Amino acid sequence: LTNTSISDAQEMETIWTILPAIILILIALPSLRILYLTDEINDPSFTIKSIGHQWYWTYEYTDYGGLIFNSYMLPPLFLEPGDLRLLDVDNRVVLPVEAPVRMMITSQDVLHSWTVPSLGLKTDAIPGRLNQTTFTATRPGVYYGQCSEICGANHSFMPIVLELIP
Amino acid sequence: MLDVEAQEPPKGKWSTPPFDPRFPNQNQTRNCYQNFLDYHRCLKTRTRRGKSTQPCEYYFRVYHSLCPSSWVESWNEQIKNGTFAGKI
Repeated sequence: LTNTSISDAQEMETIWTILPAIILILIALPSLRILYLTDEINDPSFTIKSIGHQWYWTYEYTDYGGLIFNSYMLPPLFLEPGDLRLLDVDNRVVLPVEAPVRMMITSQDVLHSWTVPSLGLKTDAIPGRLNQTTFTATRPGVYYGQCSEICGANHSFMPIVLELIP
Repeated sequence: MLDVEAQEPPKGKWSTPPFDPRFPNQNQTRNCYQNFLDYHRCLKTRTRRGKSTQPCEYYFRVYHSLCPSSWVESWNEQIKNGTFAGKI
Protein backbone atom coordinates (compact mmCIF):
# COMPACT_ATOMS: atom_id res chain seq x y z
CA LEU A 1 0.00 0.00 0.00
CA THR A 2 2.71 2.40 -0.98
CA ASN A 3 2.52 4.91 -3.79
CA THR A 4 5.49 3.61 -5.77
CA SER A 5 3.83 4.33 -9.13
CA ILE A 6 2.88 7.92 -8.33
CA SER A 7 5.79 10.26 -8.06
CA ASP A 8 4.54 13.66 -9.13
CA ALA A 9 1.89 15.15 -11.40
CA GLN A 10 2.95 18.67 -11.98
CA GLU A 11 0.64 19.30 -14.93
CA MET A 12 -2.45 18.05 -13.09
CA GLU A 13 -1.57 20.08 -10.00
CA THR A 14 -1.21 23.22 -12.12
CA ILE A 15 -4.50 22.66 -13.92
CA TRP A 16 -6.54 22.03 -10.81
CA THR A 17 -5.12 25.12 -9.15
CA ILE A 18 -5.47 27.57 -12.04
CA LEU A 19 -8.85 26.38 -13.32
CA PRO A 20 -10.76 26.79 -10.03
CA ALA A 21 -9.14 30.20 -9.57
CA ILE A 22 -10.42 31.28 -12.99
CA ILE A 23 -13.87 29.89 -12.22
CA LEU A 24 -13.99 31.82 -8.94
CA ILE A 25 -12.98 35.05 -10.65
CA LEU A 26 -15.71 34.51 -13.25
CA ILE A 27 -18.21 34.16 -10.43
CA ALA A 28 -16.89 37.08 -8.37
CA LEU A 29 -16.84 39.79 -11.04
CA PRO A 30 -20.56 39.74 -11.94
CA SER A 31 -21.36 39.24 -8.27
CA LEU A 32 -19.55 42.44 -7.30
CA ARG A 33 -21.22 44.30 -10.17
CA ILE A 34 -24.64 43.16 -8.95
CA LEU A 35 -23.75 44.17 -5.40
CA TYR A 36 -23.16 47.75 -6.51
CA LEU A 37 -26.17 47.74 -8.83
CA THR A 38 -28.47 46.84 -5.93
CA ASP A 39 -27.43 50.10 -4.24
CA GLU A 40 -29.94 52.01 -6.30
CA ILE A 41 -30.20 55.74 -6.74
CA ASN A 42 -33.41 56.91 -5.22
CA ASP A 43 -34.88 60.17 -4.12
CA PRO A 44 -35.50 60.04 -0.38
CA SER A 45 -38.28 62.02 1.27
CA PHE A 46 -36.33 62.52 4.42
CA THR A 47 -33.20 61.59 6.29
CA ILE A 48 -32.79 60.12 9.77
CA LYS A 49 -29.53 59.56 11.54
CA SER A 50 -28.98 56.58 13.79
CA ILE A 51 -26.01 56.64 16.14
CA GLY A 52 -24.97 53.55 18.05
CA HIS A 53 -23.72 53.78 21.61
CA GLN A 54 -22.92 51.29 24.30
CA TRP A 55 -25.72 50.24 24.73
CA TYR A 56 -28.50 52.25 23.11
CA TRP A 57 -29.34 54.04 19.87
CA THR A 58 -29.73 57.77 19.32
CA TYR A 59 -31.97 58.95 16.51
CA GLU A 60 -31.77 62.40 14.96
CA TYR A 61 -34.45 63.90 12.77
CA THR A 62 -32.74 67.09 11.61
CA ASP A 63 -34.30 67.83 8.24
CA TYR A 64 -36.84 70.19 9.77
CA GLY A 65 -35.38 71.11 13.12
CA GLY A 66 -33.59 69.27 15.86
CA LEU A 67 -35.49 66.25 17.14
CA ILE A 68 -32.93 64.05 18.85
CA PHE A 69 -33.76 61.24 21.24
CA ASN A 70 -32.31 58.09 22.74
CA SER A 71 -33.85 54.66 22.41
CA TYR A 72 -33.19 52.28 25.29
CA MET A 73 -34.45 48.75 25.68
CA LEU A 74 -37.31 48.50 28.17
CA PRO A 75 -35.99 46.72 31.26
CA PRO A 76 -38.02 43.62 32.19
CA LEU A 77 -39.44 45.34 35.26
CA PHE A 78 -40.90 48.10 33.10
CA LEU A 79 -42.65 45.87 30.58
CA GLU A 80 -46.40 46.22 30.18
CA PRO A 81 -48.55 43.17 29.36
CA GLY A 82 -48.17 42.55 25.65
CA ASP A 83 -44.69 44.08 25.39
CA LEU A 84 -41.93 41.96 23.97
CA ARG A 85 -39.05 41.14 26.31
CA LEU A 86 -35.63 42.25 25.00
CA LEU A 87 -37.24 43.87 21.97
CA ASP A 88 -39.40 46.77 23.04
CA VAL A 89 -37.88 50.19 23.61
CA ASP A 90 -38.89 53.38 25.35
CA ASN A 91 -38.80 55.57 22.22
CA ARG A 92 -39.53 54.08 18.84
CA VAL A 93 -38.44 55.38 15.47
CA VAL A 94 -41.66 56.65 13.92
CA LEU A 95 -41.79 56.77 10.14
CA PRO A 96 -44.45 57.15 7.47
CA VAL A 97 -45.18 54.30 5.05
CA GLU A 98 -44.72 54.65 1.29
CA ALA A 99 -42.00 57.28 1.80
CA PRO A 100 -38.40 56.60 0.76
CA VAL A 101 -36.32 57.03 3.88
CA ARG A 102 -32.58 57.56 4.00
CA MET A 103 -30.93 56.22 7.18
CA MET A 104 -27.47 57.48 8.03
CA ILE A 105 -25.83 55.12 10.48
CA THR A 106 -22.75 55.62 12.56
CA SER A 107 -21.40 54.87 15.99
CA GLN A 108 -20.08 56.96 18.83
CA ASP A 109 -17.87 54.31 20.35
CA VAL A 110 -17.45 50.72 19.10
CA LEU A 111 -18.85 48.75 16.19
CA HIS A 112 -22.59 48.16 16.19
CA SER A 113 -24.99 47.12 13.46
CA TRP A 114 -28.43 48.55 12.81
CA THR A 115 -30.72 45.77 11.70
CA VAL A 116 -34.39 45.34 10.87
CA PRO A 117 -34.65 41.87 9.31
CA SER A 118 -38.31 42.14 8.28
CA LEU A 119 -37.41 45.10 6.06
CA GLY A 120 -34.23 43.49 4.77
CA LEU A 121 -31.99 46.04 6.48
CA LYS A 122 -28.61 45.54 8.03
CA THR A 123 -25.98 48.24 8.08
CA ASP A 124 -22.88 48.40 10.22
CA ALA A 125 -22.44 51.33 12.56
CA ILE A 126 -18.75 52.20 12.39
CA PRO A 127 -17.16 55.00 14.42
CA GLY A 128 -15.88 57.75 12.14
CA ARG A 129 -17.83 56.53 9.13
CA LEU A 130 -21.31 57.40 7.94
CA ASN A 131 -23.11 54.54 6.22
CA GLN A 132 -26.22 55.11 4.22
CA THR A 133 -29.11 52.77 3.65
CA THR A 134 -32.42 53.57 2.04
CA PHE A 135 -35.74 51.82 2.23
CA THR A 136 -39.42 52.30 1.52
CA ALA A 137 -41.81 50.46 3.77
CA THR A 138 -45.12 49.57 2.23
CA ARG A 139 -47.00 48.18 5.22
CA PRO A 140 -47.77 49.97 8.49
CA GLY A 141 -46.85 48.26 11.70
CA VAL A 142 -44.11 47.77 14.24
CA TYR A 143 -40.83 46.28 13.07
CA TYR A 144 -38.18 44.95 15.41
CA GLY A 145 -34.47 44.39 15.10
CA GLN A 146 -31.45 43.86 17.30
CA CYS A 147 -27.89 45.08 17.30
CA SER A 148 -25.93 42.76 15.03
CA GLU A 149 -22.31 43.46 15.82
CA ILE A 150 -20.82 42.39 19.11
CA CYS A 151 -20.31 45.52 21.14
CA GLY A 152 -19.79 44.58 24.74
CA ALA A 153 -21.70 43.32 27.72
CA ASN A 154 -25.15 44.55 26.68
CA HIS A 155 -24.89 43.88 22.98
CA SER A 156 -28.06 41.76 23.16
CA PHE A 157 -29.95 44.51 24.95
CA MET A 158 -30.03 47.39 22.50
CA PRO A 159 -32.89 46.64 20.11
CA ILE A 160 -34.29 48.73 17.29
CA VAL A 161 -38.00 49.35 16.86
CA LEU A 162 -39.55 51.07 13.86
CA GLU A 163 -43.15 52.17 14.03
CA LEU A 164 -44.50 52.74 10.54
CA ILE A 165 -47.66 54.76 10.38
CA PRO A 166 -49.91 55.31 7.35
CA MET B 1 -26.38 85.23 8.60
CA LEU B 2 -25.62 81.69 9.63
CA ASP B 3 -22.60 81.33 11.80
CA VAL B 4 -20.69 78.55 13.42
CA GLU B 5 -23.09 78.42 16.34
CA ALA B 6 -26.28 78.16 14.29
CA GLN B 7 -28.21 75.11 15.39
CA GLU B 8 -31.43 75.48 13.46
CA PRO B 9 -31.77 75.43 9.69
CA PRO B 10 -33.15 78.61 8.11
CA LYS B 11 -36.86 78.73 7.40
CA GLY B 12 -38.07 77.97 3.92
CA LYS B 13 -38.96 75.05 1.69
CA TRP B 14 -36.62 72.14 2.24
CA SER B 15 -37.13 68.42 2.03
CA THR B 16 -33.92 66.48 2.40
CA PRO B 17 -30.51 66.46 0.70
CA PRO B 18 -30.85 65.18 -2.86
CA PHE B 19 -28.76 62.40 -4.34
CA ASP B 20 -25.20 63.64 -4.87
CA PRO B 21 -23.48 61.82 -7.74
CA ARG B 22 -20.08 62.66 -6.26
CA PHE B 23 -20.89 60.24 -3.45
CA PRO B 24 -22.98 57.46 -4.97
CA ASN B 25 -22.11 54.63 -2.60
CA GLN B 26 -22.85 53.56 0.91
CA ASN B 27 -20.07 55.55 2.55
CA GLN B 28 -21.40 59.07 2.96
CA THR B 29 -18.74 60.33 5.38
CA ARG B 30 -17.17 62.52 2.76
CA ASN B 31 -20.56 63.87 1.65
CA CYS B 32 -21.21 65.18 5.17
CA TYR B 33 -17.68 66.55 5.61
CA GLN B 34 -17.50 68.15 2.16
CA ASN B 35 -20.74 70.04 2.66
CA PHE B 36 -19.56 71.22 6.05
CA LEU B 37 -16.35 72.53 4.48
CA ASP B 38 -18.21 74.03 1.54
CA TYR B 39 -20.55 75.88 3.87
CA HIS B 40 -17.74 77.49 5.81
CA ARG B 41 -15.74 78.27 2.69
CA CYS B 42 -18.81 79.84 1.12
CA LEU B 43 -19.44 81.86 4.25
CA LYS B 44 -15.84 83.05 4.42
CA THR B 45 -15.63 83.98 0.74
CA ARG B 46 -18.95 85.78 0.51
CA THR B 47 -18.42 87.63 3.76
CA ARG B 48 -15.02 88.76 2.58
CA ARG B 49 -16.58 90.10 -0.62
CA GLY B 50 -19.41 91.78 1.24
CA LYS B 51 -22.08 89.67 -0.44
CA SER B 52 -25.15 87.99 0.97
CA THR B 53 -24.51 84.57 2.51
CA GLN B 54 -27.95 83.30 1.55
CA PRO B 55 -26.58 80.92 -1.15
CA CYS B 56 -24.55 79.20 1.55
CA GLU B 57 -27.72 78.03 3.22
CA TYR B 58 -27.91 75.04 0.89
CA TYR B 59 -24.65 73.63 2.22
CA PHE B 60 -25.79 74.30 5.76
CA ARG B 61 -29.01 72.38 5.21
CA VAL B 62 -27.22 69.44 3.62
CA TYR B 63 -24.65 68.98 6.34
CA HIS B 64 -27.26 69.65 9.02
CA SER B 65 -29.33 66.81 7.60
CA LEU B 66 -26.51 64.37 6.99
CA CYS B 67 -23.93 64.89 9.71
CA PRO B 68 -24.38 63.56 13.23
CA SER B 69 -24.76 66.46 15.61
CA SER B 70 -21.83 65.27 17.73
CA TRP B 71 -19.53 65.54 14.72
CA VAL B 72 -20.77 69.04 13.95
CA GLU B 73 -20.36 70.17 17.55
CA SER B 74 -16.85 68.76 17.65
CA TRP B 75 -15.88 70.48 14.39
CA ASN B 76 -17.42 73.77 15.50
CA GLU B 77 -15.46 73.56 18.73
CA GLN B 78 -12.27 72.94 16.77
CA ILE B 79 -12.98 75.91 14.50
CA LYS B 80 -13.52 78.09 17.53
CA ASN B 81 -10.26 76.91 19.06
CA GLY B 82 -8.37 77.17 15.78
CA THR B 83 -7.58 73.46 15.71
CA PHE B 84 -9.84 72.38 12.87
CA ALA B 85 -7.82 70.25 10.46
CA GLY B 86 -9.81 71.06 7.33
CA LYS B 87 -8.91 73.87 4.97
CA ILE B 88 -11.50 76.64 5.12
